[in-house]
Amino acid sequence: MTFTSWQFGVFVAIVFGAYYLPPFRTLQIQLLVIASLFFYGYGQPELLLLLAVAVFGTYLFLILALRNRPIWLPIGIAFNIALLAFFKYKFLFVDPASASLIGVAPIDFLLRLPLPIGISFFVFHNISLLVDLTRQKSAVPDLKNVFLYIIFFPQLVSGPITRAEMFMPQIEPKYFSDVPFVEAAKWILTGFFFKLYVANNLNEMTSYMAFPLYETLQTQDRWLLVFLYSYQIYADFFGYSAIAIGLALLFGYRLPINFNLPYTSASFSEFWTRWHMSLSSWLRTYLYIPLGGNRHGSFRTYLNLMIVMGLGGLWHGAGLSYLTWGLLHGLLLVIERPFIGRLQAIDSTVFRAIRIGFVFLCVTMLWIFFKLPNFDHAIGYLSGMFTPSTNPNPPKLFYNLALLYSLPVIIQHLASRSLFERTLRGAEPYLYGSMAALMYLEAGSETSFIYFQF
Amino acid sequence: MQPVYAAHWLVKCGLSAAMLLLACGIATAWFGNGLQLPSTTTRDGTLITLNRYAKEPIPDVALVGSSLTFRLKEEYFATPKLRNLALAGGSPSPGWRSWRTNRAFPGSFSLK
Repeated sequence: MTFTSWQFGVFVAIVFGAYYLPPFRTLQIQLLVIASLFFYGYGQPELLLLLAVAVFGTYLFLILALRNRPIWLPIGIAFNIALLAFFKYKFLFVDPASASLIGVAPIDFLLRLPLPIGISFFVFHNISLLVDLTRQKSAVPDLKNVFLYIIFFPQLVSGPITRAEMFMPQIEPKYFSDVPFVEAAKWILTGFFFKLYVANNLNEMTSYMAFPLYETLQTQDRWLLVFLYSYQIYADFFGYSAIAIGLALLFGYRLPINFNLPYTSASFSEFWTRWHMSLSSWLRTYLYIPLGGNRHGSFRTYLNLMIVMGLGGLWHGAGLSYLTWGLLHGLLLVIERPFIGRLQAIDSTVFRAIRIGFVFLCVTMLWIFFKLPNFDHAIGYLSGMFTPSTNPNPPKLFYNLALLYSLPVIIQHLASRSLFERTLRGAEPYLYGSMAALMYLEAGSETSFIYFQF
Repeated sequence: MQPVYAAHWLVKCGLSAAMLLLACGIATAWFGNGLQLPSTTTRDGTLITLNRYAKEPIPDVALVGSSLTFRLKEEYFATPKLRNLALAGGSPSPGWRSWRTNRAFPGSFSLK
């Protein structure tokens, strides 16, 4: 069930209606857990068993780790990483379509299971739960609270990755009168607008980046499509995150913000504090700092950065392209690190604009490895950007439409915050209403969220 | 104060969306579909053509060809059940092949 389907709208309306009814006041957590299980099992009920194993297993290791942290915490983390590694990376070694695999029925069944949606996200929730609660030496939480934290449906499939120490204290009775309807409406409308109007329409064009279609493109269109994909992936993931934040607010929970105008970053380190912030924060807290962070000299810092970014790339998918994407980001972070202080000391608007442009260009070029998980295809696309095309009859892309669909991302990044927060404050409901109408009138063809595959 | 503000905000938002949709509906009724944005790419136009032929009843006459035939408007012909299956930027063969694999043939073809 995707956020953009009518079934999801009906589902949310029913759950929201029941959630605040007085008879359900004491059963709000259970209701959300059941709703989340229904949401996850809708279409893929066989994966509910895996979800149950992940949650019950993590809960068991949490109880044990609260008694003896040094022994059971690493085992609990290893259990979750093993789950992720098995389901995410098994396709590197086995072909689920082949007639015979191992020959042992239960193992063959597991090997044939598709990639469980959202596994990368709920495994990170599990690890956060184990680390945070055992560090705080808190009491053993209720199983239903643990379930809710891990499988809360707005964040289950693609985050934002919420840390346990942020979410667990929010679990308490919720009241209808406390719902911030305007804030929730703003997040939800913005999210749907960016997904339906921007991302889905741009996807019509960027689908030409797929192999072998990109062979038909003119050289300048290859360049254009890379930039359009940069806007598309932002609109798609920002849209999803905004909808998730808005939905969670309707049920009384505040999820972390995932994006903060990432394409205005003047350095690569700044980019990672603005793009997929919940993942960056998770990697910094649970990987970079435990590895030693920047506390053991320059060489170890650079090595840690490369390890974190390489693993961050592999977290997205089992493929050389994702690894390359992560490592190249790591390399950019390493290269800029010795100069970042001096660059930031130069107080010039023009220079800052040049830096923003350079970071945007590099980040955009690296999205090619994201769009084309097959490494050879990514290299083929990239090399075609620097050689003249020979196709006499390339597909024609309408540049005015490309601009029209990219405009919301460009305006959001370039317009000053005070324009929206002060000057246009009175017109705010009308602007959001116009966005609602526009996303209905000019929605692109239905496509799944890009981050659902992770 | 908060619930009143929220209600006002949501009503204004809903009304502005409804007004805009109504204005677009009236404009479409007044001016026709000429106001619609074009397909995103030329090949999307091709897909629209093919989808239309896949979904509609079998015509009496089908035209297959490339860009030149594509420019022929169906309204120009006296035969009411005539469909133009030409694909701009392509060749007559995809249109021909799609009909060959179809469950029924039109009465006649015109092949450029």
